[in-house]
Amino acid sequence: MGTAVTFDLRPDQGTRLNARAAERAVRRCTRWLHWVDETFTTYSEDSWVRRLARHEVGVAECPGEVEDVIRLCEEFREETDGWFDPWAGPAGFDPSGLVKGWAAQAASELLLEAGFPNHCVNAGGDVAARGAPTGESDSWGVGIAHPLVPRALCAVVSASEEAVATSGTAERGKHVWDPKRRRPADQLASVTVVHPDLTTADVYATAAFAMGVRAADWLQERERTDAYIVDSSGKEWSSPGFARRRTWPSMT
Amino acid sequence: MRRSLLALFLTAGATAAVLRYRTPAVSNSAVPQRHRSELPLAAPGTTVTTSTTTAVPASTPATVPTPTTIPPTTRSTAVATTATTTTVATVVVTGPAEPVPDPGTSYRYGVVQLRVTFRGSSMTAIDTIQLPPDGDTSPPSTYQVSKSDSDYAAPILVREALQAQSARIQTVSGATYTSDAFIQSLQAAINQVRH
Repeated sequence: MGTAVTFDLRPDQGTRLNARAAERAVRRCTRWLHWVDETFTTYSEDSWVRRLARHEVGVAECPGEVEDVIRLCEEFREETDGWFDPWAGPAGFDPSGLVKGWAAQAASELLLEAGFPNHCVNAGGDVAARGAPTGESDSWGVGIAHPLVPRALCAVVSASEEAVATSGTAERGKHVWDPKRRRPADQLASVTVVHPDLTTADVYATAAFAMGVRAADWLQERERTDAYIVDSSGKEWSSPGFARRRTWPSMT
Repeated sequence: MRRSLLALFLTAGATAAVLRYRTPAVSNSAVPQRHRSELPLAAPGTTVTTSTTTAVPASTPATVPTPTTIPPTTRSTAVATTATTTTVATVVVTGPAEPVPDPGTSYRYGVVQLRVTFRGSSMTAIDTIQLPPDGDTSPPSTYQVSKSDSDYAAPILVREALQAQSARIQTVSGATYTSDAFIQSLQAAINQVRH
């Protein structure tokens, strides 16, 4: 993936963090993420995904996780009415819009299994938060990068057992592909989705971003979803749920 | 949900032009030293007359200036005048950036230039032209507000957000796709302020 991943593990209230266990757990997550990268990357022609796209192998020969990802892509393509479509890009099947969040979500589950219910995984801007930063606050404070002003934030939200994913133009410019208009999506600057599952948050943010100005309506219809949009002129929109969990700016 | 627009400030070393308002409710002047000024907003129906002046900054020290702060956005009022003009004013704003990981070079600043357009009774546009820091070859981004009373995403620099929030930000969700300095630098800034 070439993505920077940050792990923030906290102890239970009143206890000290078992540093060795924490390091072991993080190493396990790292091995997982490297494996995902090798398997799904579209930047290496030898990855399972690229070989699949060239029909050199069938799905049955690939690791089981590849089939899982393909199935998820199909389900989300249907749920988003084709606005999330990993098959629509110019270079063939590219599940990257789902894999990053999906892999980070799995890493979060690994940390839970390893006995760390208070943690935050940030995979290149996709965040899976569990519990709280014990001692600091009773929920995680997640800043939202401003899509149009570098080195700035545009919001801060609280998350406890939720994921936060943002899709947009902040760093790599217009890289989200609009599968219907068959060109880079450019009506919005960023879409942020809060949802209990990071895979879903990631896909919803990607699909909504491609949708452009209709994103707000579509996101309001999604379950357990809070959303925040900045359009390409800098105007913002929050769902009521997002506004309730927003801690900055404080509403007057 | 109405909030006023981004607050501007001028720092030592700012170049070129300075925004000066001649409305009684606002006393606003460009000062070459570290200075905080707020852009008064024209409430719908009021008129603001502006002019553009050029300020020659006082000699600035060779050392890197310390970061300035962006005050929380506040609503300001302008008193109606009878003048109706179309005026364009330019402000240069300099804000703190994350520290360069080179000992001895302190901070690297991003320069933001704002172009404000007033037409008749309202502010019709603020164009932000972000100039990339030295060595960054990416093209400048523009950030335009179409109406003075629209809700738009007010930016706050990470350091200020952390101070305002008393370090209640542990991570940042951003529109990044691959490994890059942006999220890392925000994360680094957060880690730095927290420790």
